[in-house]
Amino acid sequence: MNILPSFILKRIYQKGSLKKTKEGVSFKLRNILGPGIVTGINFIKINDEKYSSSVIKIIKSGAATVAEQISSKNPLIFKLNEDITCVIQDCLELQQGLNNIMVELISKDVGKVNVTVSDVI
Amino acid sequence: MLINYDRYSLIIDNKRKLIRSAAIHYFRLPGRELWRDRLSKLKAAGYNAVDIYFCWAYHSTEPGKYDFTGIRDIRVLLDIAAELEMYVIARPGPYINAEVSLGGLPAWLLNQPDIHLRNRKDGDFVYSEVFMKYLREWYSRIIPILNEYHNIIAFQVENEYFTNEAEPDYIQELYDLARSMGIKAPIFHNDVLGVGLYSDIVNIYAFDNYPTINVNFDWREFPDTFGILDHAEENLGSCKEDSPLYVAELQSGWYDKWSGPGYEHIRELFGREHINIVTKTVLSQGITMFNHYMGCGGTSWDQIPSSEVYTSYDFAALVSEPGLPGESYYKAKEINYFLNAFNLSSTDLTARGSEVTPTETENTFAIIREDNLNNCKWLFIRNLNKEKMDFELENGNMVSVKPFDMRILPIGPGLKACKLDFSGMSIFGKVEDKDNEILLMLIENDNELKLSGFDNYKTSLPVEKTDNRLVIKGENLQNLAYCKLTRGNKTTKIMFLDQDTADKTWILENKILIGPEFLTDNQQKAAFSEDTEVKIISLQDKTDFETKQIKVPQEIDPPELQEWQHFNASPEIDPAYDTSSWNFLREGRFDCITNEVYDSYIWYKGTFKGHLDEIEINAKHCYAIYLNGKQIFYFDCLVYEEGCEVPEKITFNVDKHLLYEKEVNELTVLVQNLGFDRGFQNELHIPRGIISIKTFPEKEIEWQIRSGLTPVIEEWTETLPENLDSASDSSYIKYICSGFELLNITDIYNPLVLDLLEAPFKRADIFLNGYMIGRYWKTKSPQKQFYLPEGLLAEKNIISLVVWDIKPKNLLEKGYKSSENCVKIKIRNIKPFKLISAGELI
Repeated sequence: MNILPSFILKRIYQKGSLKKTKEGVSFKLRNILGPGIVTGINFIKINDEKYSSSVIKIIKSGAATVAEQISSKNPLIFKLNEDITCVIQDCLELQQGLNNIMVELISKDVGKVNVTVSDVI
Repeated sequence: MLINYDRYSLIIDNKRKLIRSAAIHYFRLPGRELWRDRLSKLKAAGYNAVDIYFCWAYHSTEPGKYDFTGIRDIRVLLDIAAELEMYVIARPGPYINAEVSLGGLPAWLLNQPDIHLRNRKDGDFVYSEVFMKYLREWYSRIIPILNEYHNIIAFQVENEYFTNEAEPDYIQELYDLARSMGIKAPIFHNDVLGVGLYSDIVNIYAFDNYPTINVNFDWREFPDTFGILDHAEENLGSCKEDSPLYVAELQSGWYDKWSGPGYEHIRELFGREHINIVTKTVLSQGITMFNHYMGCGGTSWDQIPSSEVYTSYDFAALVSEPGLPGESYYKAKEINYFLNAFNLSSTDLTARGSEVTPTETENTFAIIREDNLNNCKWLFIRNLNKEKMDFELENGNMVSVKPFDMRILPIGPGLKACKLDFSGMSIFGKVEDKDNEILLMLIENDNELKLSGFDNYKTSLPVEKTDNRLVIKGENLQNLAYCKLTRGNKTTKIMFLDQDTADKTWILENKILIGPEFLTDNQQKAAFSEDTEVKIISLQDKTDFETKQIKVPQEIDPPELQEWQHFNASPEIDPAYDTSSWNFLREGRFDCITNEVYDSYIWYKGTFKGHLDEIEINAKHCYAIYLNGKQIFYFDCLVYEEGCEVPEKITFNVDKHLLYEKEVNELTVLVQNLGFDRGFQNELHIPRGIISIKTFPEKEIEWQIRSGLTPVIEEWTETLPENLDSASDSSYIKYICSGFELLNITDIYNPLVLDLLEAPFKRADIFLNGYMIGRYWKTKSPQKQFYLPEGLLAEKNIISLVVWDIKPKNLLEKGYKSSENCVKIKIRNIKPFKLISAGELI
């Protein structure tokens, strides 16, 4: 498991992007590290609730992909300095104040990566 | 040496320098002969600098003790670099990674009380005075040696370091320490994240870049692979605005691991195309310092490797582990020769993308840079498509670029007798004196070269001439064809080379030598593996070139191994073995750190009474358990998942037939430690040996411990091989040895390997004259041939193998019944070369 240092995570996660939407809950990530090829998104955990890839939608350059469809045969190309929006369709509630978010994804190059951040609403 | 710098480049003795460096691991090249040979090969390929990690653990096996003698004498290495007039980039860590055990930290640090290696714990910054005390000691030993040399142009503190909150304290202290100890060169740190880390502390901001680290994927399928480099100037150039950007590790290969695909596969990925693209992309960003990692492969002999890697650290490097240049070497030479001909150490971006190629297409890249020194421009153009691409440029010129190719093309440089308006073909190199020059160019079909400003020209090539402009088309070119131009008393001869000829073309003392496969011995020796006609071209020649015939010997027989001797090398397994000199476990703990046992092999012995049902054990890495002298269990747990070690706790049933219900029973455990973790993704403090062991029912066992195999060979029993083969189940470790003589054949370069391709066993440690030079493990590693480093060879040599094959019955079934099987183990040549004095040729 590749754990990125917190100071990098703070730069990857766009602070203040966590919000409740019509569809569920969304937040944004920016790739500041380098071109990445994501071959899977295992899950997203918000606070203690874990959401599987079937209810996660990734929006990139206006196009949406259900995370479940991302695989080594159908990877998500995540370019340097590119933004993606993660939408969790099943997630109906956020807590007031601090919310903890964890995204577990699989990178082509380094395997499992955990992005663990927090945001306040 | 006066070293200065500005935002463009280093300025050494008032001259701008483009630093072309390649890395070697001297600790993986045992012997000064190897250092001289490898550095000579790098110099011959046009490198002007060598990057050297100095490995703390290699010089210190005990606290307070340092060894800088013999094969560890780094003054010899630095003397060679100075003699070859190469700059040195010094990287003494303390942490170096380099896929070495503990990332180069000495194992004895592990047992120091209250130590936090690298001032880091679970990713958090934790200052450790104990660690800093020992680190100061290391610096106080290494830095005074470095200070003896004038050619050190850059000094790195730490390596690939970060903490959760990127605290600056540690890096700042290292910087101050290096300065206080007399380091005068610019100081940098190698930022593995490439995000500008510690750039406000160091003089030069450096980062490493490995676009392709998963060798199961072909980079050609992923056109975004080089994205970081494509935007390095824009994204990282501002990290340190008053100094040049430095790519401290620019990928020129990759390491293979246990259970990996092998270096043949990795070389396929990192051939000419990859090094060409990464290097030219770096140059397209105005970067004037790069270090190809690795320049030369090496051998992870003795206890050098981290547990992740097997013996060969070939790295698919420019020069292979046994010292042979590969495809990437010749491409790097081509780029370096070009950079030597045209100093690109001060350029500015003038146009990119659609400003250069109006009809921009996918997976292509184009940049134009203004050259402040050569008063011209350069077009950097790249095609990552699977098809050839034709580009129409803003100025109407056309360029055709092959798939996965990148070029640096001249726009308007002045030559002695003409102006090179534009060329779609690449410049290979140049020799010149005051009035004359020969410009070597690569034949690249479907492209043309445009010249103007000359008085006259002479050529046998079909050319187009309009208004004092000459156009030469690639498709009309033949190898070694040329066009000679004159203006006043000046001449420019433009000569064209095909790729094969370019590979064998060397620029030496302002002459061009075509024919050798490589040069060594500070370019004094030229190497040939077959009969060759050598061509020599000089500026003054009236004829096209001078030729000489080289004859090489038909065949060179490799040395033959003498008859093998066989020994039982594990008397410790026997219940009667005397353990009175063994230590008792410290604090009741089994691991090697607590007990300060850092050898590859660790023995444990203990006794108990009564019955035993099960044993639960967790040990690293390979282990066998013996009950009353009989093996009852074997396991290896060298398991990594995504770079992280996987602990494996195993429980097994004990064979009750081997128990003495009413007498004392003896348990013996032998564990082989394949190295510590390199500490990049994992913590450094991961112990080896037995981590934990439990018996069911629980027994009070007073365990004893000892490191190493039986150190005194006299204790081993020489025996007939058939007796060994059919011996009891106890004889699992065999020591077999043979000898060979080396004939003193002068002027032959002939690296040797020990070939175990047909070895009748699965695992063995290989020793050459007492030095452990390899770990053979048939099922876990693709490596079946082991390089015999010249530095460890003598006139008379002993090869010995410690064979630890776990299932002797399998061996018997395979017919391992006599020493005749050992005949299958051979020493082989890789490829012999005749060495000819370059002085005689030119």
